[in-house]
Amino acid sequence: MSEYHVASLIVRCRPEQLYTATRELGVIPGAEVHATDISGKIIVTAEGTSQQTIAHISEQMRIVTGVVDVAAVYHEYAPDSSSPSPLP
Amino acid sequence: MMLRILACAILLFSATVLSQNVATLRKQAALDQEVTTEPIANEITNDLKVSRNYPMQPPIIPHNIRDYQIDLNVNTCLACHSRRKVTNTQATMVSVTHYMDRDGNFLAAVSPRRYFCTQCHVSQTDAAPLVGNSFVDVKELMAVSKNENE
Amino acid sequence: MSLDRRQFMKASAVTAAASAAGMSLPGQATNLYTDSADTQLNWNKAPCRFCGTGCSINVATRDNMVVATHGDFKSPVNRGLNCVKGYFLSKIMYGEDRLTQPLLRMSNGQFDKNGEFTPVSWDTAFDVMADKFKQALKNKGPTSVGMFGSGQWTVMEGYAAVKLMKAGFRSNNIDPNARHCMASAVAGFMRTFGIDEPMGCYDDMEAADAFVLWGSNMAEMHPILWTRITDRRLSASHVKVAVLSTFEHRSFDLADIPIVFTPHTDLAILNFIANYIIQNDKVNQDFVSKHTRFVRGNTDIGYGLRDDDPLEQAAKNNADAGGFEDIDFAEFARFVSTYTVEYASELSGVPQERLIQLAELYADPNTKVMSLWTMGFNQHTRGVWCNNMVYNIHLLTGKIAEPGNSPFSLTGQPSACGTAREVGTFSHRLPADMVVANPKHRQIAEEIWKLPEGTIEAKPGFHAVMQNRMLKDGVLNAYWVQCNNNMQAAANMNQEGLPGYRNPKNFIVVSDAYPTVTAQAADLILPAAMWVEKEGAYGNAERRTQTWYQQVTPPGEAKSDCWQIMEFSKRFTMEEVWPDELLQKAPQYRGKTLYQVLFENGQVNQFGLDQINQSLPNDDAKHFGFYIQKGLFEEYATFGRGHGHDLAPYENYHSARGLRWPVVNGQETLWRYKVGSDPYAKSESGEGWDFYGKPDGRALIFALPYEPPAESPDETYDMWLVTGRVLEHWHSGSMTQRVPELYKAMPDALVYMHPDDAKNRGLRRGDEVSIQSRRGAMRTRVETRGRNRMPVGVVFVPWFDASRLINKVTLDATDPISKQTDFKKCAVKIEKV
Repeated sequence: MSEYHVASLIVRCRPEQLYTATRELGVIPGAEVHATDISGKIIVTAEGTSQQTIAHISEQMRIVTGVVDVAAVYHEYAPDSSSPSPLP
Repeated sequence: MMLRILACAILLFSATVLSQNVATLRKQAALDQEVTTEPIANEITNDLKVSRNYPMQPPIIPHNIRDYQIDLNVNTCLACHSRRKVTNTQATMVSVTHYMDRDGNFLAAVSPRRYFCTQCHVSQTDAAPLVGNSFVDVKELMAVSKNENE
Repeated sequence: MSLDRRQFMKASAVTAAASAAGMSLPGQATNLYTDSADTQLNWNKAPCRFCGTGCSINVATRDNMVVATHGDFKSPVNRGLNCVKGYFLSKIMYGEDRLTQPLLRMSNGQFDKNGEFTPVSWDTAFDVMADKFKQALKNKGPTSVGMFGSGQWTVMEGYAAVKLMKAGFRSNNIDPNARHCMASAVAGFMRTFGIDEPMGCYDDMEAADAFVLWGSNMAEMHPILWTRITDRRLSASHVKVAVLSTFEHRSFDLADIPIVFTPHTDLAILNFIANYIIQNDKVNQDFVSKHTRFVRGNTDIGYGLRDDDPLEQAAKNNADAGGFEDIDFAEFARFVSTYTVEYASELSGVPQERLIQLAELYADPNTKVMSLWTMGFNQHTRGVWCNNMVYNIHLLTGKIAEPGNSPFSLTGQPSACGTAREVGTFSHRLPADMVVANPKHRQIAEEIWKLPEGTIEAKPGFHAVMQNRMLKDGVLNAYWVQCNNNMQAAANMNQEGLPGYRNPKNFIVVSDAYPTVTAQAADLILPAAMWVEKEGAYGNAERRTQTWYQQVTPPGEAKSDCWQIMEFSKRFTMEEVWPDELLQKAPQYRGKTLYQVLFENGQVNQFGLDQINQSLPNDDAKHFGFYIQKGLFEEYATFGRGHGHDLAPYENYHSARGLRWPVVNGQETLWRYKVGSDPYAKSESGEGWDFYGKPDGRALIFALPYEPPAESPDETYDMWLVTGRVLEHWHSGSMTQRVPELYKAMPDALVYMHPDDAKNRGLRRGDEVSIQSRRGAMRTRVETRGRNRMPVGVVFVPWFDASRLINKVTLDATDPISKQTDFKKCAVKIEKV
């Protein structure tokens, strides 16, 4: 039986690169941007089927241009019997 | 509704510790006192789009508009935001509603009734609001009602 | 696992991160709402809560919250548009400091004038309040109690308040804040035409060839009407716009004829135009001979200051400021003949050619002119004269009461017309343009209200400015303020308002939604429901009456002003408020309460709960057990039906986007006094005009001079101070300052001044300064650029800012006829601090 994992992260980037960083974060598979702040803070979620996918997504976030820090805040998972399609 | 009740509870609490100086916008100053003035607030000019409170809200202006001319001769805003200019400027095009006349007919250009942009669109300063506002985005209400149903 | 469960987990994750980061979220993250019921909003209409334009708004609610607002496409007023304030209406009710329970100043569990505000129950609040009102009535009689109301009251609230004060307490000491706003316009209408409110309507804006703004910054204060004028100006190249003011503001951006004049000299410019029309033989002789009458008004009428002021003692005619005598056309022509272009130009500082350009708009018989004005005219120690004199030039040329030819007085409050003026919440008035001084009018009101003869007092009560003076002098002792922020709004706060409210002899009650400056000056604060938290009706500047339903419930224990007035009236027996000789004439009222006599009178309570909108809340109706809004409206409407003020049946207004009175046979009236378009206008030929407000059907043309202002700059106080509003904030800012976007757009009231004036005082933009007058001082920061371009010697300070109270500085000089304060002129000096 597969699992559904979701984590939220606070990404900090250089304020002047907020716009480009936000765009790049948004195209990482499994990542979604929810809010930004002019000081350079970005709220992002990572979704996947395992702890490893989440870790992989957060690694990809670290190498985005302008990003200086990625801090995980929350992680939750649940058994997912009815997943209509495999998540990335 | 949950969010509203929370806001009221906070108010009830604060009401019991009120002093004589209740006028929230006066920073606790008595009426015969003068309030220390803050320096003139700076305009926010970061060019970042700010999400709207609801779809029909006119977006705020995220850049400086000082010395922008909007008069009988020139409209500086349309120099970037009109339909034909956005390719070069990458500015947001004015909404399609702005091409409609009073009766809802579409015009070839921006309607004169929408000519003075600053009647609806304002820039923002970095002044921190004196009082919070507990307006709730409809999406949050929808999420709450969904969870309550579960 | 359901999709919903996933969304919920994700939402929790996002919320946790946002809270850890100290950020607010723009909204729920996911977009997957597949059930249309989830995205459904309840839409209803309401008029805008702000200015007198009367835009119609679509309001969306969900889960008892307002979640969105936008301009109503169906409304002929705004056709889908709003100004920036209107677009943010959704947030005005949600300031986190909403008042949710009564607050009484107490020490050791007892009322104490110098105590701390303490939450109490409505019962305790009304007990203390009723006790204070009863004491005042018993000790000094009806003139010791009073009420200060509002052009933001709903029609029903204003009507209930008039009944409570004039019929119940038998006190005429009720006045609205519209006294500060529209009183000069009212007196102007009554003197010239004998009926209040404009003859034309907003449709004139699409028909006029020229627009003249006389002391009105419509671009900021009436933005939606300005969109209509802009539309007309930019769509038809022959159209001209003239803007007159004492400084350059945003409306000048559309001006073909920009005119900045020396404060107060508009009087001379108006007479020059009349003279120009006569000298150039442009008088419409046919119109003038059939429809007008010439009179000369009393002059040297004083400045409405306290009686012991040297200016009042020097004035000859302040006892009969409104008096006038008949003259003829030749005498009028002679009277204005001294106002040559040379004299007007010298006095006003306006180049001669500009004045001639302006005069030509009126003189040219082929140019349809719309004149528009607001506070520049009305807040003027000769404000009534200004109103009379602009009618003069429309009457001399016959440019009146037909599409595009329209002298149009704009209003500042959503129901200054509907409530303050039509209901007659002024100290001298009764509904439908009637006055307390007229025995016939009192008789009509007493009959409709089922009161014994002699109930209503004949002597007018204290007007707004006088109320503050009488509070200070300890004459007015029990005082109720509803729906306005007069401590911040009234002039000369330091010397009159504040000492009046804090006078130990007085008990002050303030009903408001938020803790305002006025609330802080009170002894008892009552939490009020606002806007769509109650059902109501407003009347806008073009005679358009609009209603709305209650759409959400108010927070905590907040109650509508109507509920407060009617509940409070239950606390009085007739024996406590009426003398025995009056009760002898109406023995059936013995042993009854004021509530029973005023509101359970078989009229107000005649419509049952079955008639209310069943799908929306109507807390007030359910509380009292009958449809109070309809009952009050219908009883009020009987005053005007058949008398030129006809209102439609109440329920019609819930479907229409407002109707312009008189509504006769279901038809609204667009142009009054014009035979054919106004059912009340009659003539033998079936055409022409009929000014039926006057017994002879003729409108008055007034010979009135230029007279100097009450205070002018001198060596010590060397600058003119002008106060006013800004686009982003409405009036005292109690609603708009609590909307973050509006606050951040215009957070503080700055002093706008010319760069040379700043330089000469060693000041730079942003410096902290003290603005001082003979009456008080206020601190702010210098602004030398921005939207206002000041001439040398004139500064502008807006009054929306609760922490920078410019009315500590202003002068409480008033127009002696209208009793409206001049907030546009006083002398100040400015020093760096």
